[in-house]
Amino acid sequence: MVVCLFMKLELKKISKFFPGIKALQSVDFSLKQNSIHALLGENGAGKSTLVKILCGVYQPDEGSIHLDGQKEVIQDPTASLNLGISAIHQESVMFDELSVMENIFIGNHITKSNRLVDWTSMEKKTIELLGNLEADIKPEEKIKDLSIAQRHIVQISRSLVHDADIVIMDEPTASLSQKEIDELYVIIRNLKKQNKSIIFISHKLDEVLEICDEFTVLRDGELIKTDLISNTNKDQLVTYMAGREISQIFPKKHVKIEDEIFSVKNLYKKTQFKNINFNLRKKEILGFYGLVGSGRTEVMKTIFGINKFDEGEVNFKNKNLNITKPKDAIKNGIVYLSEERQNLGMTGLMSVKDNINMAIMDKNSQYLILDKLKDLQNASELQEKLNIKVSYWSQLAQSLSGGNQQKTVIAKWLSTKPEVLILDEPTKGIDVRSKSAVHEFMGELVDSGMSIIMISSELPEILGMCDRVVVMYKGLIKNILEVSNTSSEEIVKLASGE
Amino acid sequence: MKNIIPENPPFKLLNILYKKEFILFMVLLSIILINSNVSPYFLDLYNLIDSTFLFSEKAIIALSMTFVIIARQIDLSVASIIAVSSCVLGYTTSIGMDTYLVIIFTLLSGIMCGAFNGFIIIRFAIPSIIVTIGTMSLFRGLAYSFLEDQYYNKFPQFVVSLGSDYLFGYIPYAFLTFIILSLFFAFILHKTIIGKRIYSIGNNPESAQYTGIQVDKYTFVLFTLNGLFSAIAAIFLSGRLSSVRPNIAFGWELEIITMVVLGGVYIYGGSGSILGVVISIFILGMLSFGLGLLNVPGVGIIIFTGLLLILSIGFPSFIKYFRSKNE
Repeated sequence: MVVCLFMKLELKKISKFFPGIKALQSVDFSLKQNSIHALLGENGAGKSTLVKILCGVYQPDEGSIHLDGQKEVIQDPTASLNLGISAIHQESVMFDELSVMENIFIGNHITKSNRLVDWTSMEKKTIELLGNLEADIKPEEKIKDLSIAQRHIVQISRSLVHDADIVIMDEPTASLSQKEIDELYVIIRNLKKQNKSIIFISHKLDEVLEICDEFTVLRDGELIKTDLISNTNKDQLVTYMAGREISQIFPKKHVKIEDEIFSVKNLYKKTQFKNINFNLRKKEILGFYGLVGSGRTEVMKTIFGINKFDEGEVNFKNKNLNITKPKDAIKNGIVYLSEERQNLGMTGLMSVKDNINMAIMDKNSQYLILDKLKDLQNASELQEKLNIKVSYWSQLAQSLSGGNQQKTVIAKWLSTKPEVLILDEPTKGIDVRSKSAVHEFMGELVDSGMSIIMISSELPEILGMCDRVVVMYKGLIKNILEVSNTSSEEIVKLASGE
Repeated sequence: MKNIIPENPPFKLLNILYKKEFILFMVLLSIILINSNVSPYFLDLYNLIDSTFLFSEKAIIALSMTFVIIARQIDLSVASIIAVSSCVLGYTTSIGMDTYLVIIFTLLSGIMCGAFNGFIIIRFAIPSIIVTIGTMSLFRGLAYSFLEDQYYNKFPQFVVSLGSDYLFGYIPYAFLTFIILSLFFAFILHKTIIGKRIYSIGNNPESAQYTGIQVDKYTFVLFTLNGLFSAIAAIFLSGRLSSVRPNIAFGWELEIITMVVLGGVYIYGGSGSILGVVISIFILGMLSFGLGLLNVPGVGIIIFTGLLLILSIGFPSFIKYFRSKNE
């Protein structure tokens, strides 16, 4: 057996300062060969800064980086690639209109002696790479036709082409279904067998416990703990990350559920979904679980009036609703919070106040002129309630932090005083503390008389928050289960079509 | 203690320097100063008033075009709509219709052309630049095939005096119309929720749709409005020229878009102000008037306009570039 004298990668006393902020404060980090190392911390803990230093985007202000015992300076992203460090980002940097093969070899094309691109060997190499990863993707497929999981695999192949020894994965499972996650795990374990070291960033502690060997927790730019995964458990990790014990991640309030308020009958839309039947009771949280592409979001968008359905009916308070556009839904008290909050929720270049009031401008105005007092009242009320951190009202929404942007979008919807709130992945990509705040808030909303439909891909969240769960598979509702009366195994089975 | 959030950040004099409107105003001032130094005829009141005839018709369309561009659309067919509406104006006069009917039909023709643009754009979800490149040729082609090598030179007295007369002997009607409309447009855009919605659509159309704003309806209305304003401009222009050929207002669409973009309206939508556009209209007007007084040929005016556009729009970026160089 070869004894490893050096760590694969060692960061010694790394510090990075930004004006007014200590992003990293003399952090030590060491990564062993063939190890999967979890990098944990809340949003703003310093994970991204650390990754950016490794990728050569930032230079550390203090400290040194050692690779295989050798001191290195990573000047720019190219240097990082040459040293064998490759990062797979959350928002993938890929070229939608190019093929899988071209994306894998981008900037690194194999050429023939006459300097023309050698397509044949590139295709051969691609098939070999994808074969090693046991992925069912063809080299000539366009990236835009691939699922998110397949895109991750292409990115992984790209890092293998660069012969990377260290692969950094930033929340690779954030938008994957359980089945795809399992497939990704297989690939990650395969990489480990090939002597790679992996830095794995994730907010999902269950998967960290399942797949990783070691962990490092950062909080407010400082190193809190680094240890073997086998020496810890979930509660302990949460405590390390939050700096306090979060007794309950899902602080579900006990609320007495009342009568049916909303129902959907035989909803059908060609090629997307059919036979959609469910009802929602007042003060209930109804979960929607299913793989990505099972039609959950499509059903909700149709109910909200973004798309039109072909057949079926939507009833609200014993009245048949004819919703053809979002305006109708909002008027009736049904609102939809999209999972794409940047693209579909916010107007980044308008002020925070305008964003909060956007949906109720006609109510706050007379003869088309905005009543500034009402406008300000509504905004301040919600700002206080949700604790949105804003320095002045004309501040542009895009200058807020991610969490505050999400709160602004929620404020926009709450100002319409909705009765049915449809939340699409409300906690995707946010840290433990904010997550718990969102959950607590959902409990308060239900308590105050609202009904909530929540789409989520996280089973613990569904089991912790919902009263009932609708499980979808390929555009069909497989079953509707009482959460108190089911298990995660049953839900996963239904969701994968068994 | 309750934390009160101020409406705006603390006032800083320096921030005004970065305002597009301020930069444009300075450009306008310097053009006036230079012109009045170079030519003794520039600051003559009658000359100045008459110079407004050069841009008033375009300026009227620039106002509605500002709305279209802020809503992340573009309309290249406006000049061709002028051709169509002018033909309708000439034709209805030639068959002896009453003046009020002539005006109504002319305006209707513009509204229909604009509505046609809007309908195609929202019904088939085709980008407006493509649709209006198409209708630019289509409408112009209609005018050509209708008039062939003929021309109209008889218009109702009312139209002729609209195009060439002055209120109280001082203010040209076209210019007066432009000033009144610009106040009205500034009010709509900056003071009403319609304006807020147009900004919101231009910033993020999808998000606007998800917020319950009827994006398609707004798009349709804005294109129809653009058609109507083209027809209004057609009335003033025909009255002023007293002659309509199918090539009337040829190439105006780009001059109008230049007015809007020079006024600081972001070409990808979502930002801009009527004040900026009005100043920019005066800049272009005073520039071509001044250069005209100096007998600079048309080509020179075009070159100056191009340079001015790049310089004033690029100004903030230039400052940033040189600052980062110096660091």
